[in-house]
Amino acid sequence: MSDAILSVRDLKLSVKGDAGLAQILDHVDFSIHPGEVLGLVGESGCGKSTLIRSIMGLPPKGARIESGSVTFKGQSLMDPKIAQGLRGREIGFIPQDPFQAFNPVFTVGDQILEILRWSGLPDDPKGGRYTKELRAKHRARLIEVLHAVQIPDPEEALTRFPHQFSGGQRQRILIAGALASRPSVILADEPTTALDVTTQMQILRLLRELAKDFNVAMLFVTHDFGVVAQICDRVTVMYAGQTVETGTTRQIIDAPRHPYTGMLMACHPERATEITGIPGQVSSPLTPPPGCRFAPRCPRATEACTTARPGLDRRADGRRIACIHEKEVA
Amino acid sequence: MLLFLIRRLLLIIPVLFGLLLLTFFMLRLGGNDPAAIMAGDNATPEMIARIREELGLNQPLVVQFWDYFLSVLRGDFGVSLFSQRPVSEDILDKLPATLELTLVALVIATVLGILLGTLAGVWRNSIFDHTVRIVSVAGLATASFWFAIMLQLVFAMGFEILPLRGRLPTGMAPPPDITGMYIFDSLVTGHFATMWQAVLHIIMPAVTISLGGVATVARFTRSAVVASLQSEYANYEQAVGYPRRRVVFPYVLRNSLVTPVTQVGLLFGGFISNAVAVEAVFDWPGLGSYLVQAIFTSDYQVVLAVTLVIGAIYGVVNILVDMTQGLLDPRVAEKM
Repeated sequence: MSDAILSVRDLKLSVKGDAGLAQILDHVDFSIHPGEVLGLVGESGCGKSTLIRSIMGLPPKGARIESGSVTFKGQSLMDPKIAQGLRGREIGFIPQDPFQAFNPVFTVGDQILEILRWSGLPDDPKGGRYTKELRAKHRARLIEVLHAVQIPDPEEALTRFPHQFSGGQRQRILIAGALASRPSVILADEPTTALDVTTQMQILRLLRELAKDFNVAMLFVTHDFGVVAQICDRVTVMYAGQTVETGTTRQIIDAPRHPYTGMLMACHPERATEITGIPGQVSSPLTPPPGCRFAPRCPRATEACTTARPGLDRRADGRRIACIHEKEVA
Repeated sequence: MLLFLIRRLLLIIPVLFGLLLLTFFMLRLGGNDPAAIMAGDNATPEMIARIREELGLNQPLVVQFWDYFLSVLRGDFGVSLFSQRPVSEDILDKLPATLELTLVALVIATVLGILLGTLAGVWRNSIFDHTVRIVSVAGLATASFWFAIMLQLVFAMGFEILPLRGRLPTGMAPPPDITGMYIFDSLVTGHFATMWQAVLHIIMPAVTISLGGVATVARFTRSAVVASLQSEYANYEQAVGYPRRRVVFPYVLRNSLVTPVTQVGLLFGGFISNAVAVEAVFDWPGLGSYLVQAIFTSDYQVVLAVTLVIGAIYGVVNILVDMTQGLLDPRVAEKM
């Protein structure tokens, strides 16, 4: 496999708040290769949003990276200047809620063209001023991408305000905004969660096709294995700020190995024979349990689980599992 | 938009009618006898009765109100008991001075308030933010007549850099009369020396009047900017690579202006009532001092007419405010 374009290595991040020091991320580790769609799965509150923001170089207020690294093609995204230069240009972003993401008092054209204004296109003249010709060129590119995301009459759509579009259309426009600058990777933060089911399917299908057509890699955050099965090549599962399992979509869905992955999948209403849920509650990041963070809720937990954090070990088939009970099976 | 404008203008009429009704009865039921005042201190009861007869003051109040209302509809506001001139002439004389003063105060309050509020919101919890907060609380709590006198003591008597009183230096001729607002008139007719003096003279009274307004606008702008900076769209704008200064201006700022602009409309009423005291301190020949004098002399025709004019201006200003909101927010414009 070719080299990763985006890698998160052993990232440990804590946020200092009023209640104390919250250990939000604990040795998160994964990488994305060119053109692949990586699913990032986890319950709400497991640190997905903080992770996404950290990858963009916009960690939450009070955040401190204690160890590890986030790199894009070898450049550190922990450097604010580098991150600012890559956001929108090399790293596209699709937000969760298309109803909230647009600024209500500007036209969608103004807002998306503003992205291109600062990112530029790969073939733009370097270091020049932002001229009328350049804006016209960006506009033409945007209209082309709006066609690709199937917005009817893109010319006219650019002059309209966000509230004049449906949720699905808004999400299409935001997708166009992420693709327009020809990024190598797109971070999609639960891009279908806020949409109704039929629209979700259309958007997922569109994203899958566009990722191929534009040859762009994608980090697809979701809590829904149904969505993962639809769109992702590989999956990485997070629990309470820790990476617990990574593998291809087939491997994970056919045979989840980490106890948490299996239980999370069983919670999916369409797959479960009965709605079980996972007993217990996600541990507070203020007082994370020592060792494996899932141990307090895990049916297979033993004494050893609570003493040391299990390593994210690579198996012969390429998957990586952070569970001491899975060592012997492989 | 045009329909909205027409509808709103028509709505002012019943409002003004209500205002007139209320003021008329409050004044006349207040126990003052205009006939006695007109007749003077040495009048005999017979003289007072005759005057009452002549003016129709012996009619039932409701009939008097109706007569007055009809004459107002014809544009006739009656004659001032004090100056013996038609009230409408007096008002036309004095209105521009007050209008100029309050408009300049409004500009100061808007520009300064939005500027301070925005910076305080962007630099939240900084020293600057705390300073703006303390100063604006102080600004809201300060009595304007006291502040006016302090300004005079410091800048006119102490440093002698600003004129003490009036609209122009004694002996300087006012600019040709177009609107009656000296700064505007001298600007369009090219009397720049006069304009400079008019500006110098208006600084202290306008600043005094705008003080509470700056504070209000700054506080509303600050909280709107803070909320807007934490919004999803501000997050998105940063995430897709807008530089931070672009996120603030124009994207966050334009969203944050809707609330303070509403405040500007409400402030205008406060400005006019502030003008009453401030015009007295600075000897500004406007409606405020005219109204005070009229109240002291129970010149009820004047009080009624001035109230009506101020009410009309207030209504128009608030229509302008609503239209500005339409310009700022397309969702508001759609409902117009």
